[in-house]
Amino acid sequence: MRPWGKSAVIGPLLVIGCWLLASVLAQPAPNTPPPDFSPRVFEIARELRCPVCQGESAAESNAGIAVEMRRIIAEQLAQGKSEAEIRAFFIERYGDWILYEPPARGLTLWVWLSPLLGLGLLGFGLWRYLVRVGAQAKASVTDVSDEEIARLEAELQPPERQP
Amino acid sequence: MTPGLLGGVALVAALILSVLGLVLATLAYTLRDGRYLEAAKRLSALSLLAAVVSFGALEWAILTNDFSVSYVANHSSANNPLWVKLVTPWAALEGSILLWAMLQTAYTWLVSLRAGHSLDVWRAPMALGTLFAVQVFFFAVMVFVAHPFDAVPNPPPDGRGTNPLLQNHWMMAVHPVLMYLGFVGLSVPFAYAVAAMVARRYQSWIFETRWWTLVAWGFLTAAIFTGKWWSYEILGWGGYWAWDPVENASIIPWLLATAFLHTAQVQERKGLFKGWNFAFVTLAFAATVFGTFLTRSGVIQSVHAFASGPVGAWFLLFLLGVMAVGLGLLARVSSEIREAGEVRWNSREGALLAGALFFGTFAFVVVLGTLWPLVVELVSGAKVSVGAPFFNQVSVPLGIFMLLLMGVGPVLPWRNSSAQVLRNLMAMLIALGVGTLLGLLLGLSVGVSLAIGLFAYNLTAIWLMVAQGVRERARALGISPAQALVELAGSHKRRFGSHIVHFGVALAALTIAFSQTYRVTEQKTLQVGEIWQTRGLEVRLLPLEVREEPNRFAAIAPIEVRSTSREGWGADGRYQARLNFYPQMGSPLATPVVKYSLYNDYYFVLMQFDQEKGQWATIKIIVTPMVWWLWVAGLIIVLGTLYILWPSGARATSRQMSPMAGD
Repeated sequence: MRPWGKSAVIGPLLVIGCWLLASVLAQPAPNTPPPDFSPRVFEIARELRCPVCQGESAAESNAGIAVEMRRIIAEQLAQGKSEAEIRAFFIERYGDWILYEPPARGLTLWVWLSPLLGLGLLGFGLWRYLVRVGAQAKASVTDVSDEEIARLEAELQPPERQP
Repeated sequence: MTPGLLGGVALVAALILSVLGLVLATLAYTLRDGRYLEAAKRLSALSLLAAVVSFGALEWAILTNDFSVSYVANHSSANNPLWVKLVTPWAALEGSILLWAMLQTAYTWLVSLRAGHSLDVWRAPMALGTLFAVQVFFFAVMVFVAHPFDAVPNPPPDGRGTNPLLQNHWMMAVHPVLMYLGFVGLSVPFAYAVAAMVARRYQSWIFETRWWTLVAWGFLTAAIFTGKWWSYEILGWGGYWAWDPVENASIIPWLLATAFLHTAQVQERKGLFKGWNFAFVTLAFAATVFGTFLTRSGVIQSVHAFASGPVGAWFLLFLLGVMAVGLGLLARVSSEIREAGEVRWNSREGALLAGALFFGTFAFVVVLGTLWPLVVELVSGAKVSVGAPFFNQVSVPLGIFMLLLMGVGPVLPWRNSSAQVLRNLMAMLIALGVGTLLGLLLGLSVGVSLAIGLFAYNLTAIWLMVAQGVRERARALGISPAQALVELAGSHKRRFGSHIVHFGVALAALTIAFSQTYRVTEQKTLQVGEIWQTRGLEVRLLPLEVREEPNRFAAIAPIEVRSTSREGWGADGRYQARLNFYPQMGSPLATPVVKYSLYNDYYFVLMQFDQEKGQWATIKIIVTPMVWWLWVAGLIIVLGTLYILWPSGARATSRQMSPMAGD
């Protein structure tokens, strides 16, 4: 399944920063060259979500809004702002949703705990199973229940009319 | 007879045949009558025929530009080149389901041929019945909700065209087909498992499905790698894996199938782990359906998009059905099975189980991470994103443990350790330390250094295993080591094949570590004739060109690249970075230029250009190390799988079961 993973602008947006929305609607004028971006711009943009794309970060998308976000990041870097300050700027406008790396608090803490949770649950199940199997191995193998005897008898009957 | 009519009739026929097949297979089981089984086997061939006719009708409609057929009107165009028309059936939902269903009927037919041979006649009816039930679902979806052959009352003069993303790379002709072959392939071990649980014969199915699982796994692996390749070469973002829901949907069944491949060996050897294997195989198959539900229902964009199409709801129901059948039967199995055996952690089976633990955990993390935004939205109404930065961080520690286990597993013997094994482990740990130190001395990051260490460690493990086998055989039979190697490779195909696959995985891990850590992206606007010096490259922009093509229009920025230092080694040449404009798309698609070298990859993307005077163009450069080797690694993994599957005259099947294994 690899349908339209990386394009498709999908609607309705809960954008708080209206001026950003405006920049989506009015695609940047086609004939002004965009500013130059250093590697740092892309590194920061990669951690941020493109608000109108499906599964693309602000570093990859070519949607107007992502282009605009990269421009803002470059501008703020030029002003000497730190990465955390730039992130805070976007969180202020969009909430935590803009971060591709969910903050480890509240409900999203569980997602960070998921590897430990998975290992713990599966590991516990595996351990219990191995203990049970080990105990079985030590027990005698002579006690077979009547139900099992009956079943074995039934299974030993030849099937009718084999093809 | 129009193609639309033929296709529609064939679909209904396939649905009826699948229902009949299900009924007959069920009768064969309940009445214990072989005649019904024979009839069901014949029906599987007929339903394959009906599906092929239906698929052929769709191709026919596309090739003849019959826009009275809804699918053709919506997803094709008279101007498309021939090869695009040939792959259009899987360019959108309805055609994809038709392809999926057709492959499903092919697998069912293949299984029916095995009935009475490698599939025992007791379980064949239920296995076929399960596969027929899966077919019923797919054909019902097409007949009732996603009909490819709906008639268009007033056929338009031309269709709406095919998704441009699919017209850019020949890989798109291959990738979806491989993916469905993998997805559908997993239905076979699932069907065998259901049959085993119904017939209460819990052991022998594991031998019968070994090849089926490996075939499905091989296709899935090939599909995932081709998908990465397509993403890298077409989407122009410089990466190959974004952890978006579509990708996660493909990796979840792959992880679970991988877990099952490993735990199946424990059952083969010791008759243990039966219940777990039923669970793994059920979940692996369910995950293929889950992935489709995820990507087709729209739930991922928003909880509220769920109602956008009925297909999602159908898949959800099917998913619940699969889980209910598999896990419901499992409940009975787990109360009946009495297994007995000792498992030590420092043995091969211990390492296999530990490996499965990590594969299972990884799958769990990906499922949870993909669904979590939904859960949060449902619970609190807040919106959160769980994306690549999260998954990348989480997969590093999990990956390290998996790579450690991958090396150690084959080295450990099945039951007890010996002095020889300890010597091997010491050698491997030394390789791990030396490799890591080497990386650190070269000034590489800790993660990448560790990746080098792990690669050396796994390489040492494989080398020791092969060398030991060759030495022993050469000494025992008094033959040359080379001859011993050839003989061993022939007689222990599974063993050698798994070494090849593991080597591929170790290489892939190394390339992923390098490319994820050292990828650099830069963007600059150049005037025509201007030279951009960066990363050991000189990039000169030549005069822009515009080109008119049958189904698109392209702006081309030719660039001349020279390498000026070792960092830019291998980038020299003249390239054409293009922006393609498709009539059916609002924004242009950038097709990157990708230049591979043995170390760095250079990636040039045209972002924007002067549309009035053609005096400037904005170029994005992405430099990534070692991506070329990732494709090599993928090829090695697939070749290793093929090596195991390749039929040979005398296959050594070592069915060493303990007396406790039973059937």
